[in-house]
Amino acid sequence: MTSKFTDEELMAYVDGEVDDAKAAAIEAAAAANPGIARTIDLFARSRLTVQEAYASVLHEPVPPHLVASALGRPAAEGNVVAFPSRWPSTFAIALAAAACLAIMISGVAGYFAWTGTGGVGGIGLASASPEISGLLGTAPSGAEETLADGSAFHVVGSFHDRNERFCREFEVSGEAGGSLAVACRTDSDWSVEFAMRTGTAGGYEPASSTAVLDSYLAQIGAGEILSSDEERRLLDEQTRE
Amino acid sequence: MSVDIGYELVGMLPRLRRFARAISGSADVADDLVQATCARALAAAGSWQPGTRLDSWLFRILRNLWIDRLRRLGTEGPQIDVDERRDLVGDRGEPAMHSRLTLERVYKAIAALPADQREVLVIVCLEENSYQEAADILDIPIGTVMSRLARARKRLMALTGQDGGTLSEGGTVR
Repeated sequence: MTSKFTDEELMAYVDGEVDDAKAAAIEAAAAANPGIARTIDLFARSRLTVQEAYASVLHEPVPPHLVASALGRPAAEGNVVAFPSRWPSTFAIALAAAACLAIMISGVAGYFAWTGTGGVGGIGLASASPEISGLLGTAPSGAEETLADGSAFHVVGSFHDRNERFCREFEVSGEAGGSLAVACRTDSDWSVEFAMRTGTAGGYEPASSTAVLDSYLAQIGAGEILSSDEERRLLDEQTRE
Repeated sequence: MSVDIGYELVGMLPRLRRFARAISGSADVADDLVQATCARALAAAGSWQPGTRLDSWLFRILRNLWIDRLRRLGTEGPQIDVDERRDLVGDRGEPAMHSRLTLERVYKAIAALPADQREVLVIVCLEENSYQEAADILDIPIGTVMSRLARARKRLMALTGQDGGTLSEGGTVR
């Protein structure tokens, strides 16, 4: 028996692109006609086949030069060092908690004020908002803080980069999603040098943050994560200045 | 007005790499495409409309760069290298139901599709765009998206031996 539905219609049913009435009609037809059921199954499995074939790419480390490209910076030439597995297990846990990532279009960007100077296309280095700057200069790693708008803030860890700058990785999360960022201390302020959206709202497909972040950390020559005593000493030192 | 797409772009890198690899069939070519996409996206950040999907906009840029590249090279489709593909399949993410051999067949089958079928397959089935979003990315009518997509999926299943012999290319379901 020839199906009264076209291949395109059955495919659209599999893809959730038909209305309820048509879906019901197709389901009734499939129940009565094994050929239709087989075609539906074929279209469903074709989607899974494609997804499974490329699933591993999302977990591969992203080459540092691509991270630099995305940030609008020239890649460091020839001095990219292998990133040591320096983070303690608590850091790994924090990252695992953020493993279900989604790319967000709105939300946390307001915390970072782009200066618009330098960079490509008006996208330059960012300085942190006064509120974030204040916390970066005082909050110890691991402590949960609450921002004025109710979002949660915490520093994941502190380290020195290749140029001996004091840098801190931190997370901000609120209802609209979250952001994972790295800021480094400059003469007078904190410069947000890396940030990516994290979170679960917005309907975007999860991606791996570690694939990108590790690459960035390697590129800036991030050193061992600092002990809490060392971190405290550096924070106190800068508060006094 | 320029917006801070840099943040978004960084987080999009894994997906851009996956997309590029699927349409080009080559890890090296894919990363070249991603790098060029980043440069073009940052330079044209002002032309992205906040509130619309950034991923669709980026896929469109990447796809157009790929088409340009094919045109310059005068080739039709991806030059797939099976040994290379083998390296791409890590322990993680490798589904138990597929043997390595089957994955290679899938890569080869996707590479063997006509370019216009392959790109719509990747945009809908891999990147999970709706038919309308695919039509917008590719700048073709939604009916064309559906007919190419149905052909691509049937051919993929036939080429990978998963169609149980019940369907022939372009044939009618019986």
